[in-house]
Order: sequence, then C-alpha cells, then structure tokens
Amino acid sequence: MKTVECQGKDLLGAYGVPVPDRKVVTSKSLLGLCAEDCSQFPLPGMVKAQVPFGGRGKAGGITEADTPSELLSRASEMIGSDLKGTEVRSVLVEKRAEILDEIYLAVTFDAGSRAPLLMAGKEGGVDVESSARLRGEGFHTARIDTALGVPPYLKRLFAKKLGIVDAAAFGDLVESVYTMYRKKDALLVEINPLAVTPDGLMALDAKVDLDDGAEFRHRELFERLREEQKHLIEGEKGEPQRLAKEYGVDYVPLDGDVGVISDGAGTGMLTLDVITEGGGAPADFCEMGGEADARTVARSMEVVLANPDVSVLLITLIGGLTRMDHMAEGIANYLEENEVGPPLVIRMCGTKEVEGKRILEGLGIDTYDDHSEAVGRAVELSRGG
Amino acid sequence: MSILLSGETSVLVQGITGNIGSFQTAVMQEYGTNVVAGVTPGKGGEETSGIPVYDFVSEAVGRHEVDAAISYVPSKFARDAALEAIDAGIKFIVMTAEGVPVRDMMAVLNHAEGRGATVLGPDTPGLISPGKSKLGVHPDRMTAEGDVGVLSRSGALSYEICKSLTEKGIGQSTVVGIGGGPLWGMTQVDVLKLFEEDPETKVIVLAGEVGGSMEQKAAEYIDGEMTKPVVSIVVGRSAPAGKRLGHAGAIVEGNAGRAADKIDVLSSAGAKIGRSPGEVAKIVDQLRG
Repeated sequence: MKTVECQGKDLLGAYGVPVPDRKVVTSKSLLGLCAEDCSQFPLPGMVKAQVPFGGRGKAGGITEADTPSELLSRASEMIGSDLKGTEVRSVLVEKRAEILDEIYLAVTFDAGSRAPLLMAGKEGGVDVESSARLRGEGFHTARIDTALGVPPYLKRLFAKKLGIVDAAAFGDLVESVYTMYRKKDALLVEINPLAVTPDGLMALDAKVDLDDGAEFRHRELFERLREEQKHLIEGEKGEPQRLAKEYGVDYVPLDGDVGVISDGAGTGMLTLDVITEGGGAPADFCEMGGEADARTVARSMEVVLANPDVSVLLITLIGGLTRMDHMAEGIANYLEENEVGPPLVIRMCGTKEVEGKRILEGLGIDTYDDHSEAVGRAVELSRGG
Repeated sequence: MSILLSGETSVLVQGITGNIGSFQTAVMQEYGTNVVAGVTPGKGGEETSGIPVYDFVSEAVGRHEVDAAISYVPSKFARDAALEAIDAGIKFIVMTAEGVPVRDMMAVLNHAEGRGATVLGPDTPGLISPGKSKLGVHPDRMTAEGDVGVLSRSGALSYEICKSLTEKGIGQSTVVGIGGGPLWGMTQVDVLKLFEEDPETKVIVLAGEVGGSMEQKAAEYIDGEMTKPVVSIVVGRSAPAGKRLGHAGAIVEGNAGRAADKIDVLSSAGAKIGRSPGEVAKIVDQLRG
C-alpha cells in the first residue's frame, strides 16, 4: 500500500524521525474554518498537494505561503485543481525549513542479497525521484543483516560520507527509519530530501510503501490509512477500476480496445504482447490468479466489460490450478444474466478442459485451443474483421 | 536424469488436509510422486489419500525419509511452515503461497542458507520432471518426457511453453517455476546451473518477464559459463511503466526492468529469442536438429 506524504510523515514522526509542524486540509470549507484562526497553520509555510505519485513539485503541486492570505489563496487554488490528470483533494501545509543541505535516505529490500538495503546520497531534492536511477557517484548502499540491525559504525560511516556533522543525530534518525521499516513491514521508506537545517535534521518528504502481503499483521493501520485516503486523494476514477477494487480483481486499465482476461500473470503479459505485436491494442490487463473460481471469472468479465472502449473480449485460459469446468460455469452464469455487446473469443485448455468446452458448446460458444490463433482472431475482430 | 526431482524423491506435504493440499496431493500421487507423509497441526494421526498425517514435521521425519517438502498453506503461515521444514533437516523446500510478506521471506531465505537448504518459490507452481514425478501443480497433460529443461517466473507461461513443445513432439527433462517474486529462493542462475550440469538436458528454455534484474544475471551466466543452447522468451514487452502486472515482481520502474533491455542482454549472451511459446518451440526444434 502506497501512502501519501502526510501519512508517511505521521508514521515516521511516530518513530521519532524529526518532521516539520504540519496541518492537512481536505476541503475548501474546512480551509475557511481554519483561516478564522491562522495560528493553527505553521507559517511561513509550504503548501503541498497530497497526491499518490511523485514528481509533483515540477508539475506545480508545491508552493509557498508567507502570510495567512497567501496561504488561503494558494491552498484553495490547489484544492480541486488538476495535477497530472488527478484531482487534488487535500493539501499539506507545513513549516518552511531553512535548508542548508539536502540528502537522500531510504531503506528498501534487495532481491539479490535478500536483505534490507540502506541507501543514501548527497544529491537529495527534486531530480532524484526513482531509486532505480540512483547508481551514480556520491551514492552509498549497504545491505543490513536483519539479525544485527544497522551497526553504529555504519551510521557513522554514512554520516561521514554524506558530510553530516551531527553523526549522533543522523544515527538516531537512521535507527528510527530502519525500525519503522521493519516493524511496519514496509517495502520502501524514502526520505527525499532529508534536510540539514539550523535546527537539525528534518524529513521534508516521506514516501512509504507498505507490504500488502503483511496486512494481516497490521489490520488497524491498513484500515486507518485506507479510510484517510478516501478523504485525502481522488478515488478510483473509472467504473471498471471502481468495480475491480470492490471485487479485489487484479485490473490495470490500458488504452486499447481488446478486453483481456487471463488466469496467470505471465500468460496475461504474453497475451498483451501478442496482441500489440499483432497490430491490436489491449484495453486492460486482468489476471485472475491461480485460484480463480466461477465467481472470479464472472466478476472479471463484469470489470473488463464495464470499459465502454472494449470492442472484443478475449479470455485466455490455461488451467493448472484453475479448473476449466469452473471457468466455463462462470462465463455461462455471466452471459445468462447480462447482455454482452462485444464478441467473445475464448481460449481454453488445461485441467477439466473437456468438461469446460462442453458447457460453452452448449451455449454455442466456440473455444480455441491455440493461444496465438485466439489472439489473432480477437485482433481481427477488433479491426472490424 | 532430471534436476531437483526424480521418481525416487520422497515428499512431505505441509497443509495436506486443506482443500488445495488434499486435492493436489491426490493429483501428485496419481502422477507417481512419492508422497510419504503430510503435516497439519492438530490433525496428527489422521490419513489423507492413504498418507499418514503428523502434527509436526519433526515427527514425520522421525518416521520417514524425506527429501523434499512442499507447502500448501495460506501466505500468513508460509514462513512458519518453511522454518519448521528447514529445522527438521529437509533440504529442498517448495513454497507455493502467493503474497508472502517480504520480511518473512528474508527470514526464511537467510535461515535456509544457514542450514544448507534450498528454497523454491514463493508463489511458485513447483516443478515437474515429466514421466517421473511432480512437486506442485503443473498440469501434466501438457508435458512429455524429454531433454528440454524449462524454467519460468510464471507458472502459466511455463504451461504454455510445455504445451507448444509437447505438441511438436519435444519432451522436457524438468520444468521449474521459480515464482513471481519480488524475492526468490532459487534464481534463474541457480536453475540454469543445474540444467547445464544435467547430462539429460540438451536445450534450455528460459521464460522471463519485466521487473528486476534477474534476467541480466542469467545473461551473464549464459555468456560466461554455459555450453548448452538457451532459448528465451521475455513477456511484458508491451507493459506500461509503473504498473504492476499480476506478479509482485513484475513492474517496470523508470528505465529499470524493461523487457527490451532483458531481451538485448540475453540475445547478446547468445540466447535465441522467441516472442511466443509457438516460436520458442520452433527454435528449440531447429536447435535439436
């Protein structure tokens, strides 16, 4: 689960990382109320759009306010505005820090060494958005042995390499970040920038990605963050996205018109590739996973067909764990209850395929055995063939 | 010969009394897998498909020789199941659960390394040595015994490849799913090494996908160490950046993890590239003469 900045700062703050005084505003009326008592706001301050993606500074999502009237006008201008195609629903107003130096600091995991990775660089700030790009000079990484934690010497060494004078404060901060990373099952905790100010170190941004797989250990936290996000950021926009979220269907909208459902991630990607290279354009990626049943496929059809751009629906199935009789039942159930406009192309093979094909034949639906043939037919239909 | 799994490999199933565990155990047995024991806490003393069930792995290994353990347990119990099997001295652990927390996988993989155990997965369909044994959920109808080694991050994609190969009359030595990530026990390089050393395997199919840099490491190994021909397919060529496609590890971040780069390095390392399972099978066919 990707958190937004203000949530990340709450999490970091709770673990002792210094964060600026701040206040979140989620609506214009609330802003009006708050404006009656300006002492609630830390001024002079930064006004920052709370959006679930990076690069907002360059897109105009961060501005400054010195006076209450500036704050009012800038914050109300920002709320409701469009930032990279997303409506801004909330802003964070925080005390402006005097920045002497900016540093990048993050903890993530390294698939190669199967260990947490501490990363820090001298070049914090707006140009360092993606950890994948951080491979250059002045950038330092260390794998952390989970049994030992971050040893004191490593904190001192990083402080020296980064030119941080107050090594003790930096060490405490690293310890806090690492502890939060571990305790909250984070996949990424990124502070960019970590500012050196006359008052000490200060986390001026916070990007925290929590492990969805570990939700069972943090039920209350996940629930709270989700509830907060309903007010903080724009919800899922389109009907298919909204349905997918409700049903827990793995759905990624794309720009084309060939609706795609698959029963595996790899074969779903393969299907997108073969469609694209065959001159078609996929409308989505929708993968049901290995344990799909009749209801899963019916719901996936509902999600994918909720996209009005879909001109043909291609379902590619190769049953390992999934049973084709169950898939066919789900498809049949959906067709019984819904009028489906776009033509259907179904590729079916694997566990219980004979039973599955029999059910579909009963409905007058032909199935394909060959993946490429099925994809080819779907692309042809999408071009009016 | 085959790798990791032969007809003699004795298998313990964790979560054997669950829906998936009991069904898959019966399917494995029918295929010929030598399943000797099962474990479900609280169900010790029962039997499933004629297989004795124990409360603890240590109790099972006290009574049976066990070469490998496979777990069909929910992701929240995957860590404990793996640690228990490793502590009982089992050297090959297959983790099928999807969505195991990264923190849990770090603990399991570190512990396995310390105890000399090999972990396959998580989020893996397991592996099959056609005609001999299967440890996992690979649909056996699409496979045939032969000399092509297949390894894949995605389970379903490996089924597609085996189907295409088998339809062309080309069998497989072993088919290994390493799992969807984002952390892996066995990597592509680990499996490539075993295929390289296996006298029965003549050609290897490597099925990769977007995300991470595992294929880059595989390419280094292919270039530097391998004598056997490798045919590769990388899916997610049309994947949009920043979107996770089904697998936890399948995401293009910035310029990292793109399919085009993986195809470039694999191709430079000498691997032949196919764009679909059908093309892969065709290339394998040509290579085998």
